[in-house]
Amino acid sequence: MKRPTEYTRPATVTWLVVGLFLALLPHYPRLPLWVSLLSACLVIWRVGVTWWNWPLASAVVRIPLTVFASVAVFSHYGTVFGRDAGVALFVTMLSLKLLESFRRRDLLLVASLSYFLIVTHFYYSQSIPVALYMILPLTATTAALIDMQATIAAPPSLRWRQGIVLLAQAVPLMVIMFFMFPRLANPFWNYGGSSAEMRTGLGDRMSPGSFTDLIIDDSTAFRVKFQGAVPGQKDLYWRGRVLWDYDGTTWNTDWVLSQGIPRFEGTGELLRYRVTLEPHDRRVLLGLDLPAKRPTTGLINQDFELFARKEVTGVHSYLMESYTEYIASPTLDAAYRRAALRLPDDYNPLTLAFGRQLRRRFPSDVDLIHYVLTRFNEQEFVYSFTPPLLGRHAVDEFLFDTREGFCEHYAGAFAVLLRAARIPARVVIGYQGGVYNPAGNYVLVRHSDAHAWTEAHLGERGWVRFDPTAMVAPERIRLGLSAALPEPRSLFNRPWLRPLRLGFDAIQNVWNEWVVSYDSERRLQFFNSMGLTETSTRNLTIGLVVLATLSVLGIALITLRRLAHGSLDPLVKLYQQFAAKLARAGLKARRPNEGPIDYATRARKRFPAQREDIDRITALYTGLRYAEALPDSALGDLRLAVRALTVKT
Amino acid sequence: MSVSALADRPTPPRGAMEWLASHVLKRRGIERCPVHLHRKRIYILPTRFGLFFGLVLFIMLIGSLNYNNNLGLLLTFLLASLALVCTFHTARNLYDLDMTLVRAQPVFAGESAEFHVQLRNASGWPRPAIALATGHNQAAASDIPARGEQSWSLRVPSRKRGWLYPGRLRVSTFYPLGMFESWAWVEPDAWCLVYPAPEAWSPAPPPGHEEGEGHFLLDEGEDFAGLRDYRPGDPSRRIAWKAVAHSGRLVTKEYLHTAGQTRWLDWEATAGLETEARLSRLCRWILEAHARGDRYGLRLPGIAVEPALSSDHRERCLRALALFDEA
Repeated sequence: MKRPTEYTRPATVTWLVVGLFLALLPHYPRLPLWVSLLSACLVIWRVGVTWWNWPLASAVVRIPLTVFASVAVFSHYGTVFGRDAGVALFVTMLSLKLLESFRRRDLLLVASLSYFLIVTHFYYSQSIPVALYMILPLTATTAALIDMQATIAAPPSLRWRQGIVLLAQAVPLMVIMFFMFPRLANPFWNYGGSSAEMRTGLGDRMSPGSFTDLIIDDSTAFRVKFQGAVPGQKDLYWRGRVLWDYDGTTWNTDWVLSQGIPRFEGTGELLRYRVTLEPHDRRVLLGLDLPAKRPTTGLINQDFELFARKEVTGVHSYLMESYTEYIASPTLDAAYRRAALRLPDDYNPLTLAFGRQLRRRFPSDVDLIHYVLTRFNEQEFVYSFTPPLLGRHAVDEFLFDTREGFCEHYAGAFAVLLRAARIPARVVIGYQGGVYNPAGNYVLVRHSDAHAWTEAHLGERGWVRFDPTAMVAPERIRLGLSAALPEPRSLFNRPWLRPLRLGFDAIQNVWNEWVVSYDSERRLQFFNSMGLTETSTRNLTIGLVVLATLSVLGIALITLRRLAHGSLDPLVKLYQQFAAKLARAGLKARRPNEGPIDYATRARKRFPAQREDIDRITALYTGLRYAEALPDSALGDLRLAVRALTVKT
Repeated sequence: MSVSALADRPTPPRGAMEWLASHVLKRRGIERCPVHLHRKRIYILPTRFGLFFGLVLFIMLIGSLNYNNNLGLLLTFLLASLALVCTFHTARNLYDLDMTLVRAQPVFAGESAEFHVQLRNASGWPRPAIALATGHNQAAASDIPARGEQSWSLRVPSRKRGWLYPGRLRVSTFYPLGMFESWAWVEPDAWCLVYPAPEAWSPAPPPGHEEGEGHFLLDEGEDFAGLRDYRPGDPSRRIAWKAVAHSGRLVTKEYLHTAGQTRWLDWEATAGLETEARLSRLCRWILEAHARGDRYGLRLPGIAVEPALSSDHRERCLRALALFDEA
């Protein structure tokens, strides 16, 4: 095959390919193995062509390879739409494009698509490390573009510096555009087949073992920034889902029962706070018990459950208000009462009998509950993450035999027991506690803080929260999960690392709050906080245009300032003044090919009276300009001489 | 009309088109060197790559907005700002350069005139990748150092005798990213004199006139120099018939002229040809006479250059031919 006339500078091609490769690299582990291998081979091959004259691929190879690769991607994913299949196809095609990227325009195309490839990573992760990493391919590609335009080869370090300078100059305008640019409240189109991987998060049921995944997961669930003081640990109950239905093994939600307007009365202080939730692919939002309004981006129901309008697939931020002292749903309709007492007949006979027995002994609900909780406290109940497996009558076995478990066992068993004693009860799952981060002034809640507790309806006191786990392992509630467990659970959990961890997490929180979860609601709020009360889209757009114009002018000033006349080389300026004086007196302007000496000779002839001045100025000028051996004060002498010069004919 | 009446420099064409160009299109016309590239005369537009890059950015914007992907938006805005910053750098790369165009040495019609263009950079920062182009060709891009200068040589093909203008020059740059091109048009005050193309196969000049010192008789008394191919117009008595019989083609005998002869190269001697062909033949004769070291004079209708022998004289004669009958 005839070798196409290649773009001449091998270094340029290399940098371009390096930029592309850096942008491809984080995709490789996610892609099917053959796509990653093919792509990496093509990248290496392209470098080989440039440096070692490796053979080219003719159309006979290229076209079937392209067709085969697209079909293979399609058959692997069953579609070419959606994030994963789209990225796989894009990576494959872009890598194959290298097979025929030799001319300048092909290389420019590859550069554009390298930039585009960077953006595809953000559909997988918007974390700080990913963002920082992407600076590499971004700079490499920009440096390659500069190198392509430059006439001479330069060391890569210089091109990188030039690329970084250009990108840095672009940052201020980027920031303005980012905060001002209108966001969509509703997307143009929906995620069709989103293929997001399963993330840990609070489910909508509680079955044996359903909390185990959560409790071993140290990753962040959400962060909460309070407007005022942070409430005490014992009040940090983060309400998730309310479970009504018990079928003998699993506690489930009842969607129908939850519908309706929440009725409550707040008796304490109203707390205002912002929750920044990590994506968990579910709709449920977390709120401090008891949520007193709907979240700014979603809904609230009768059970005080909070929901986003769609699945939370990105970091999601909302404002909430809560009361920690409250009366929730003071009246309970018959249907709800029935639902809150319903128990399967053929499970846990011992517990049912025990409940009936307690009912006869304690006419008062409060006394009964108090008795049971005391029993949890005083008897040999153990808090453990590795309880023995339970059989069919799980609650019976737990209460009367093994007596070992964690929140899901305690909350479930307690609710069953209360129902058996004819007290309306339900289970609430959510999170409990959190770590206060003084660096960012917020509370960090991890998935391992997942918790379950029980609510009992006590007449006009409404639904009252009882946490039997707190009776067994009070330090779990008072100090957080790690205190309740015997040994440190991870290498990074050392005390001396704690400030560092908190610092990193504070940065992460600012990132989430201001970058990742900045949306149309945040934007309005941001403008309100700046005193822009008028928040119509039109005004914001005008604001954007004005600010963008101002910043463009700013950049223009910065880049062009040095062009202004005043900053011309002072030496040249002085000499121009000298020439201007002579020209005013009638001397013909200096020709471009006329040196200062020739010019001076001409001037001396024309103005013999000033010959000394002319000679002196010329000597100073040429000395400063070409000899560089004169002291700095010579410039001042020149200035005085030029100023003093008066030319008379 | 004497030779000295011939223009020392061309008069730029003036006419309706010129008026239109300067008043309607705001073209500056021919300017005295050095020409200062003021920022007002610098244009900038996106290149094809720039437009494609814009399309990519638009797709990134729509996608990121739709999925509320803020990092995607951040990157999109960064790249958009990068393009904007790039416009300043690209335009700034041409600001306040001074262009000087040195007029080219005279050439014969059909040859390329070589103009030397010098761009001076008085500012304190270098100007990378500046390209120069005429309507005919493009010179390679070069860098101009800070407080320095760079020269280009531009070859402009000449077609006919007379004054040759390089036409409008285009100074342009794509630096730094190739997304935008900024350029300026300059029509500097420079020209080149184009002599008529010497005729390729001229017959020998005819004998000189009576007043010439030596007659232009080519007798056998002169030294035989050699044989050459026959050209139309060679006298038949100078055809080497023996050699013709031998080789089968027409061959003419040539003789060495004694240096120091004087002859008149006369317009009338070329009668029967078109004007341009006559000038071409005269041009050839001048070159040959000069090369031989003859004293020669030139007679054109209305112009007579007295016989002489010097490079200046040769140029005077050629100039007379070049500008003969120029409107």
